[in-house]
Amino acid sequence: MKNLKNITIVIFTSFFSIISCNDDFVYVESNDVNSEAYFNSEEEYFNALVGAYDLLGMTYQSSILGEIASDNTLCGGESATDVPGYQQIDDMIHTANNIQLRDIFKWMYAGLNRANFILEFQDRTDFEGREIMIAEAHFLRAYYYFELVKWFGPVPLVVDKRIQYGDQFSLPRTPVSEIYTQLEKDLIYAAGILPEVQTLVGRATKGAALALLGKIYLYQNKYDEASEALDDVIMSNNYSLVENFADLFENDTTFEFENPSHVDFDTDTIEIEDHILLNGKPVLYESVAPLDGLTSGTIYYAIVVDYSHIKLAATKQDVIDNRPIDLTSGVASVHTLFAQYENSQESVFEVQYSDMEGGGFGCFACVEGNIAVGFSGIRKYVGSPFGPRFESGYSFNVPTQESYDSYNDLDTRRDASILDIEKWVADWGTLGITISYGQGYEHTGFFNRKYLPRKRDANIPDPNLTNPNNYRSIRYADVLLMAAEAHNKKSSPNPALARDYLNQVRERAFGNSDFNITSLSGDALNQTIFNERRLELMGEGHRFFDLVRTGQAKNFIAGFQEGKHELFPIPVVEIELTGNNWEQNPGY
Amino acid sequence: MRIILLLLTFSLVSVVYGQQTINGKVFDAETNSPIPGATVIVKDRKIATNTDFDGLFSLNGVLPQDILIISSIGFKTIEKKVGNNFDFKILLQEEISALDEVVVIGYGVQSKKEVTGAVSVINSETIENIKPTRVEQALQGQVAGVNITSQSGAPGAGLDIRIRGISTNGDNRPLILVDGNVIEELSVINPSDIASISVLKDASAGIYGTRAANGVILITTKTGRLETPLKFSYNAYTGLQETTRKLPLLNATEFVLIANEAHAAGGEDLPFNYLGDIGQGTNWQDELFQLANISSQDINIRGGGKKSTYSSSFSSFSQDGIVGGIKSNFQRYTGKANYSVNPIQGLDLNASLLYSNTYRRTLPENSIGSLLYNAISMPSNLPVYDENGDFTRAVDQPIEVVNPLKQKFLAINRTQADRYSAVFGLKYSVLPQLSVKANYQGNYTEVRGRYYGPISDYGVEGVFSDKVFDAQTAGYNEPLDIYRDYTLDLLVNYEGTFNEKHNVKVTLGNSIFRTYQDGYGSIGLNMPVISDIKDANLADAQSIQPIFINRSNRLSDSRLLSYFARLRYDYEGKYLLTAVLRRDGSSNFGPGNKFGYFPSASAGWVVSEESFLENSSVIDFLKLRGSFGILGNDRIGSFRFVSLMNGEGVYTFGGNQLVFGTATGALSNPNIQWEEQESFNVGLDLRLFNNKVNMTFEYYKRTTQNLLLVVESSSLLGTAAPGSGNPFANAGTIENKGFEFEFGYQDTFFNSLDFGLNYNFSTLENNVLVVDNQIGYVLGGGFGIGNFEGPSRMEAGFPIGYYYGLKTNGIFQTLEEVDAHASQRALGAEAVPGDFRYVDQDNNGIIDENDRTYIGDAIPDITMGLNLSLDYKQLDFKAYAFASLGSDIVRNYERYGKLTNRPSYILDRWHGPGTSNTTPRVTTAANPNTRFSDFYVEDGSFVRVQNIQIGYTLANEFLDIESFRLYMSVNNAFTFTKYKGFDPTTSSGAPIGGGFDQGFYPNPRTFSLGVNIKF
Repeated sequence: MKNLKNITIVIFTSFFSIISCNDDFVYVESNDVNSEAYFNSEEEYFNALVGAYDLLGMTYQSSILGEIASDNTLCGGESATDVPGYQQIDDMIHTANNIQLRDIFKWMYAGLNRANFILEFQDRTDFEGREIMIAEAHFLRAYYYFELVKWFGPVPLVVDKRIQYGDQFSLPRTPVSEIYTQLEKDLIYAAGILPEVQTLVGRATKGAALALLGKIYLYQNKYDEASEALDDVIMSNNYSLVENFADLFENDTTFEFENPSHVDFDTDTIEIEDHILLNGKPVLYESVAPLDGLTSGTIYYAIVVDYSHIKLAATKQDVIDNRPIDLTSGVASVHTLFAQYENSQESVFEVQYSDMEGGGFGCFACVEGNIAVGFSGIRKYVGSPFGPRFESGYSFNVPTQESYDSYNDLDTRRDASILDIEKWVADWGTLGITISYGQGYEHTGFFNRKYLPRKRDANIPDPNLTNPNNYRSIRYADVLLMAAEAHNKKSSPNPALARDYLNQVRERAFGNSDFNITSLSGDALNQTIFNERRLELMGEGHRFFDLVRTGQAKNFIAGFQEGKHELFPIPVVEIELTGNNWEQNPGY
Repeated sequence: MRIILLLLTFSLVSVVYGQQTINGKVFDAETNSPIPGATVIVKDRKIATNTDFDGLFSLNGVLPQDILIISSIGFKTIEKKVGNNFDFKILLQEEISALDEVVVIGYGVQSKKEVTGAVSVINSETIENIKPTRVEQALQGQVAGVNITSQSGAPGAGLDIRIRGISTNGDNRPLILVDGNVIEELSVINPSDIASISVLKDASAGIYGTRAANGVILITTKTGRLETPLKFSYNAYTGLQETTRKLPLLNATEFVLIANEAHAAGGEDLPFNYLGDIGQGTNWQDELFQLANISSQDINIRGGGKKSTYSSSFSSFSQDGIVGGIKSNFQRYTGKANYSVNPIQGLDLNASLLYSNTYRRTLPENSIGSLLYNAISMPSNLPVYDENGDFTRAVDQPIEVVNPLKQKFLAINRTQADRYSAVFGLKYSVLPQLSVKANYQGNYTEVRGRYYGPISDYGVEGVFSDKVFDAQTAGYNEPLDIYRDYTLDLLVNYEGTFNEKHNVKVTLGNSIFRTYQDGYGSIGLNMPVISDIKDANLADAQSIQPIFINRSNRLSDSRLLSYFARLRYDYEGKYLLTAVLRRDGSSNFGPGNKFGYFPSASAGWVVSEESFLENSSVIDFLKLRGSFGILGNDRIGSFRFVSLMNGEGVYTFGGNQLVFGTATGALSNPNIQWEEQESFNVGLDLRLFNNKVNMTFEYYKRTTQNLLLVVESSSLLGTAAPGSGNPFANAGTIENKGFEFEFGYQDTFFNSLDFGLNYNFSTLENNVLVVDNQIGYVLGGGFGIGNFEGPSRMEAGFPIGYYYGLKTNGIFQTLEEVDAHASQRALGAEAVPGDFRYVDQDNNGIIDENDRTYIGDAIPDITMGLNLSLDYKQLDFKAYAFASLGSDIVRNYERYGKLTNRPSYILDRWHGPGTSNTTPRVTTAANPNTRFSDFYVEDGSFVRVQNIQIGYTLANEFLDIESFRLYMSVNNAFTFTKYKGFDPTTSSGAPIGGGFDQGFYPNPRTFSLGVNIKF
């Protein structure tokens, strides 16, 4: 018994000594890396850079609202109260309480903070290729700031460090000119370091930095500098126009078929889709793996029969003659055929989207798809037996009749940019395919075809938020038109070169040189280039800002008040949250 | 009922006449040990005897109609009819005067008489009467100042306990300890294991310092007692559940008429041309609601020897849902074992183990597009199945409106939780006055989700983007969360009496607590088609991706280190004083802010002990008491003071593959510190008329300062980035005050009719005093689609989470009225007759978001509870009801699509001057009527008769068991309310935005039949 007593006392003593721990017990470190202790390896820099790219996805709001605010489109949607923030901007009755405007403000600052985070620690660890990543961070910061300046004018400029809690109360709005000076510096620096071709598609290149630099010069009417920067892009010979305008805005398409014998070679079924879907033009595909029985590395031609059937041919002529390859010796294997419309030779900078992850209305910033696409989709678009090409959406951002009519009938861009839904339904109807659709608010019969949801495989919830359509942020055609404008407006104008650039774009649009501009110069040429920008870039989110920077908005946008609507209001909540130190933009 | 009648008859016919000798034995009902020296008297005759050492007695000349009176000191006297019995087994219940009842308080017990804080107790009897499926329900309406709301009526859904109001917009849960062990998830406890529940409502919870700011609930479970033979108890019930309410909606004929009228008003073609006999159409609620089973069984074994006690229990519980049936089934299995022993004098060891296993299946609920939302929205003219026997497709409906029966069919998921708890304790009495105690409690919980997302084609056939739920491929999500926590307590207790008048009790303690969570799991894409979640296998997925990439699996780690001292002093049991000081350190705060000191004190004066009341014939007991203390709160999640790389950074670089990067997570604030609550309470306890009446009055005021709020911060800080968020800051003050009254009455009439009544009443006034985040408010909630931001707010001068929207002032009857009023265009369209006239709060001639104002709040002003019990011989009857007055609920379950169904109140719409001044016109055209306004805010007051129960206990003469009781009960029997929605008692529980009803799953009405056996 006594022994037991001793034992218990021992137990107690040891208990006490274990437990009576000191205050260190509540000093715990997280297993997640402290953000002050990050950037110790190439991998960590890269991971942070991915984080900085992430917010590019949220520029969808700029692209859809840039259209809705302009004369190109009406707001649309389900009803007059569907996304009131969009409706108000369309009607130019928006206030400083607009949720969607605040989104732009929020997301762009989120993005530039992540870029600044990398720049704050740019010198912590050295490795091969570090400068390129740092240059990309400069590019991204400029990209995000440019969006902010376009929408809100003067906003607080902070460089090479994060905006930390407490800083917000002492940051004034920086004059636009000062911000632009910084962005020019960033982009000149980035262009000096970035490679012409990146290791991964979608990362900023030298061309992207120069093109954005040129655009920023243009927004400041610095035409001499703009023409030089844009010429650098053109002279690099890294970019060219895609031959067929209609191909430009298709999604990348991957066709897979397991056993070649499953490929439907029944010539009877070819006719419907190949010619209409691909505008009668055989499209070049490359086989990633050689087909059994065929020589390795051969380039094959293919015709899309429908979305699960492809036809292969050995030569272009075979395609035209509808002669398929004999695949009778085919053994089961997977062949991937890849049509590249995204990140094409015309793409100078492209925001990358994916449909590999679901999304919901709860967190738009977490969505990896292009949200603007689902919002622009045709309401209740249904086809039978399958809906050709498109999928349904929320019917926002609907082009006006005037937009449609602004094109020449022979301009291939019209039908590639604006879908005339009645004509589309009628055309397919003659082929025995029934399409139905719903009419939303402000239905015009037109849809923004460039950014409509395309038929695709990975339809995961919510399919309208996860469309993979990349946003062609800066296309080579845009570069040509900006360069044309700059050359015609610079201190010693070069209208001939301007016309040459302009005509490159027009020749592609019409498929011939019949519509080339041969003699214009001065203001007349300026106006022609300006009109061409609308036709070429219809639906791409640039129109409102082109109207504003050229001082023409009041002539085109109903309800536009000069001296007020050039800028959007700083969200009133943001003014309050920074201590009421900022003055609101005039008129709001 | 028939069984009971039969048994009654049986007992009546068995009366036989004739003089006789009877024998018997008297036992302690609790311990089953014999009672020597008990008195046995034959009523009204001069025959009496005492039991011998073995509790035996014998009486001669007794008649069958005689009545025996058996009494013993410390036991309740009972009477027994002789009847034709010769051999009696008599069980006496221990008589505990209500004042000597022991109340569990922090780290110890105290007699009720000595309590100086606001403590309410619920005993096992009450719990047995209420038959809760979850422990929280046992508190509903039972205790003044405690408000319980259910997040949903779905089986296994959580309930929110709010003690004396809402003191923070963060975590308002009270601290819950089961036998000293912190248990945050009460679904793991089988209610019939519970011996008592103490609710510490004021600063007397201060012994728990931190975490006690929202009150403390102490649950003790049943254990064995020394020197008692093995005792079994078995409880079982089975029942059927049904919905308490179906909303009155338009039938097919009414729907078609209203839809045509709306289209005509909108200048659109009529959708329905044929207006013949359309009939009632489909009642989607009838299709969705069903009768559902519920059943419960538990067995409990208890006993004890000379030096050790043991108890063990097992239970199983299964409940189907009134929506979804087996698809929303909840199952719980629990096993529990306690053992305690004192191997040598002064040393006590105890150990207990608890295991529980729960399975839960769920359906989408209380959200836009959930099952009940769709049962309301689906038009009544559509059948459930189409001509092919497939689920009818909601083709012309908005993107979230789909066939709810198909939703039910496609719901394939299960959440499994396994929890292991262990408690080990040592107590050693060094001296009779001095003891030391050490306790270890540990919990390990694995929660494994299995969520299958099937191929879903809800809209037009083959079109996978028509509805938000559509998916062309099947996905699978299998998260695994592991929660671990442990607590180590060391206590030194001293008790001493000086001069026979000064009683001193001192407790010194040290406690450490750690809780941490690890998250694992994977997402599988392109899964094969399955119909039962058992067949889901991650390995079948075409590609697998972990849930947590580029961040640690350790999702949280919070620790507390506390030292505390408590002094209890009383002078002759008349003047009582308790003082507590606690020093807490929390890992949730940064260096320099980790430690806080939390003092509290309470005092009491037992007035009835004073000479001037000693001989009062009316007042048996009167105590005045008061308490004041400062309590801390650190429950904000770990590491919010430091910026971490746990955000989200995902991009795709060409092709269609996601690249996972890293980014900073939620914004940090290094300056966050303890939230502090000043808690003040005065109370009065009163017992009258020979303890038949007891009353308690309380007044309290709790002021929470330095509130830990997630404050809306400038977007310059990057808070909108994925995985980021606003920081915590100590930025607010909330005050809760109120008055509480508890009344109890207990008496016996006609010798055998026991009557008991308990009533409680509480008021609550919640007021936000300060929100210090520049904008002066915190936003929350969501109303409808595309509406104003933040329809619910926390703002100084208003109750937390008040509703912020437009005020209506009738309906425009004529164009002249429209023209005379401010323009409503900014709301979406210019008004026309039949639209709401909104109040121009800022008088600027424009109605817009700036005209929003207070239009109600979700916090009830008054809550009440009433318990009634009647026992007549072997029959018992119980009923209890509770009420909540003055809360508002937002009706947010209507979709307002062109062709969605509507509640039938729309039949009273405006359709011409003078037809209505409350319900607007119907139209498909643009209109401002669906913007958030007081039209959608309804009075959520209600009275609910929660339980009615009739039981019958079989006389133990016939069965050799202690008791055998059969009962029938109705749970959630009636609700009286004006609220139009399903259930006024549900709330998402969020302090801001909790009262938005998007089709709450109603709490079911349950009819059950049960049995309680003890032997």
